[in-house]
Amino acid sequence: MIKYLLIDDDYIFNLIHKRIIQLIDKEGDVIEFKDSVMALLYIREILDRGETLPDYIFLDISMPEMNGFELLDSLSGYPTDIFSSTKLYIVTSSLNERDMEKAHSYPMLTGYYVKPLTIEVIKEIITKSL
Amino acid sequence: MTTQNDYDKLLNEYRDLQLRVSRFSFIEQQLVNTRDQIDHELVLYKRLNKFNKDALKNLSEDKFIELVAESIIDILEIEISVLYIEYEGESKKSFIHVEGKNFDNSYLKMISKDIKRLAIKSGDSIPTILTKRIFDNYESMNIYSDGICFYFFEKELGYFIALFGMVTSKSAPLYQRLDVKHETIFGIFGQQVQNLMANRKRSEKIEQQIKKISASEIELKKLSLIATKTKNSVIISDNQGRIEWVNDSFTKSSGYTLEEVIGKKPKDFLQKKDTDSDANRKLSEALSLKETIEVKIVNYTKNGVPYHNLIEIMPVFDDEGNHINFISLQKDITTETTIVEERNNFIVKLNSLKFFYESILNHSPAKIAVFNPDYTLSYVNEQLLLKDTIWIKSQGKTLEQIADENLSEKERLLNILNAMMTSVSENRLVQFEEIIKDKEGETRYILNNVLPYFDEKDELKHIIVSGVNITDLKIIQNDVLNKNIELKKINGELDTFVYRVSHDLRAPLLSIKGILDLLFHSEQFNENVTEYLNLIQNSILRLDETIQEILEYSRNARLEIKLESFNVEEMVLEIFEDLKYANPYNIVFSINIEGSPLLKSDKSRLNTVLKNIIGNSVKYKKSNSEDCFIDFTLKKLEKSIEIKVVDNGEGISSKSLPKIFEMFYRGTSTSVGTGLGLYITKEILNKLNGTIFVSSELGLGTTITINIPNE
Repeated sequence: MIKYLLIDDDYIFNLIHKRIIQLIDKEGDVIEFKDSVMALLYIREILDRGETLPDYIFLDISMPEMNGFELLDSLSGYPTDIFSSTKLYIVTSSLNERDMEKAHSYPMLTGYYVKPLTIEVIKEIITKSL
Repeated sequence: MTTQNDYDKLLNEYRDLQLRVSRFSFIEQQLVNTRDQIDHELVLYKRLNKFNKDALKNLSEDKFIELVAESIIDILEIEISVLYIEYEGESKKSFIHVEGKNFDNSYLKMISKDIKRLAIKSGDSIPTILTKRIFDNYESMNIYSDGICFYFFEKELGYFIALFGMVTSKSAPLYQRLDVKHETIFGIFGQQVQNLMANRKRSEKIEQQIKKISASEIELKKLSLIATKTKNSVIISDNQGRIEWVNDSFTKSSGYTLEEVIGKKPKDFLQKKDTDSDANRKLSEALSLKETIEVKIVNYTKNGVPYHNLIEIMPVFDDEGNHINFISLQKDITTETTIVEERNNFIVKLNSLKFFYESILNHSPAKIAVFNPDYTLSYVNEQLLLKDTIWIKSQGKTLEQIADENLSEKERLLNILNAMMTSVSENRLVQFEEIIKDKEGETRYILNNVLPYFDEKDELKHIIVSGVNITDLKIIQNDVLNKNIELKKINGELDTFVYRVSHDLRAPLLSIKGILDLLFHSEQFNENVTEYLNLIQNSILRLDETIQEILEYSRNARLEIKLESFNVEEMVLEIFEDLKYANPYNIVFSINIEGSPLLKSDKSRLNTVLKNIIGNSVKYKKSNSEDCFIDFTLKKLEKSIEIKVVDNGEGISSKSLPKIFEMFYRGTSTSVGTGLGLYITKEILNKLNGTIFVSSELGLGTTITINIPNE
């Protein structure tokens, strides 16, 4: 069973993305967080238990309290290989170049998508690993 | 008897004979003696003759005297000879010469004391025998027992000469006693010496006279030459001031010839009424006192032209002190006077010029100091003097000296010195700013300019240091800087705002878009609903497009140009792929790039431009055509890059063509555009110093050519 982690303060996107994933991978386990701080706590718990992170993580950038990059920065204390079996995607509504440039400096990232993720895009992502 | 008689007779005769013989032998002896004596005298006279001959040779006076003294000994056959000369006149010079054996020279002085007194006991020009008794009267002469003296006194020629022949008592037995015979020959000798000496002196005098005459002749020649040839006028007048002679220069400058003026007084024809009376008075006063005088006076030529004269008049006196002439030298100083006047005028002009430039310098707001090539202070303008008292009395001093006298300003002054040395060694303007506190404690900003001045021979003439108070400028500058910081802050805020808009405005839109997408894939609707949903989706896409374009416009306006290298081919392909992805269609897209696809430009802006242009080609393709194409061509020209996008789309009507770059202009009401794309494109190209050119024909297609600088 493939695990998907969605982190976005806009619950509609979480809903859309979750539904699309479920359309393609009916058995997939989709966990969603509206609150990036809570999401961080969740990730830490997993790592602290010594378990592996979900197979897919879709992370928004612009979020209150803690944005996507800050969340990634908060994990810098962990070994670099924590994302080795995880595909990490930035999903954002921002067309800002600075965000895109900044994303390049995070080597654990697999990709960068502008919202909303369409069925075609998610299908392409998931079918690669199915 | 006869015999006896005869014998007697014979005896008598013999006796008589004997007597006669003895008489004859006496006479004979007498004759022999006389002959010997005459022979001897002949020798002496021969010697006298020889003296005569020798003395006539051209001898110097010393040699002549020596000859005389030697000849006394020869002629008189005597032990010692003395010659004493005393010259008349102021010097009363006397001279004694002694010849002979056994004469002690240390004795000479003693003799000379008595010798004249001894000589004049006898008569002038008469030889006199001197006896022991006479010699004994003189202390220095008492060693002599026998002597002869001859003296003569030539009053006319001015000398006294005494000749002596003497024998000491000790040697007397070896010498013949002096007698009349000696007197005679010495008399002749003495007279000869007298004549010879007189001749010598006379010819000497004549020679001197000749020399004197020839010398004064030369002098006279020189003087007359000078008087004739000098450029200055010369007038010689008699003691009454009546002209006797004038030189050519006088004629030249006055116009009067000698014939015209002879016998006249200069002032009667050279001057007019207006001639400087003061100078005139001085002149006549000096003339009457017979003093030398020098005056400046205006004279008039024969034609009445005034000329300035420097006149020097000297009275001339003869040997007896009689005033005989006046000599007047006149120098024409008209040109000199003119020159002096011109010079004075020039100085006045110079002063006014100096005043003019100094007033400019002094009223300049800049504080100016000028230094000599040896870094000593040459000039300071008033502005500087007023503000900075340290410059007072600093002229001629070096900056280092001034700094040492003003320790509180030392650092500042040494900074200026350093700037001066840099400006000289690098031959350029050196500028530097100073911040100083003035007397009121206010901060002042000074901009100093240090400029070395080299003349055309590349020789350093001076160094000009000028300081300008730029405090006001500085305040404005600071104001501008602050405003700039503020603007940056505002800009940053705007940037954040735009970012928020980009996110927050789009986010709900995109979520609607996502839901629609989901709807299309997960549900089945009847036709009407599907149509409505499609309309909603189109509206959402257009709204998103508009938002994106507003963002792009804002970004272009706000952000600085950022040059970077990138692959233009990749960029164009990506744009094309994205467009294709957004609305799938059938368009043949070809890319033709000359040379390397690497460009250096503002990547983001160029991306926007190309996205708009290619996007338009896609958007306005012929809807019913199957063989649509878009050709992208890129050429690197010398200084620019030329990009051409050619399509066979709908084209633009000639009516619309001039308006396509206007904001919110849309060609048709049915068009899907926002009316911002080409406006933004034009704005971006303006910012990039690029150009855009559109040629199009309705129904055939459009060609867009853009040019951007090749960085």
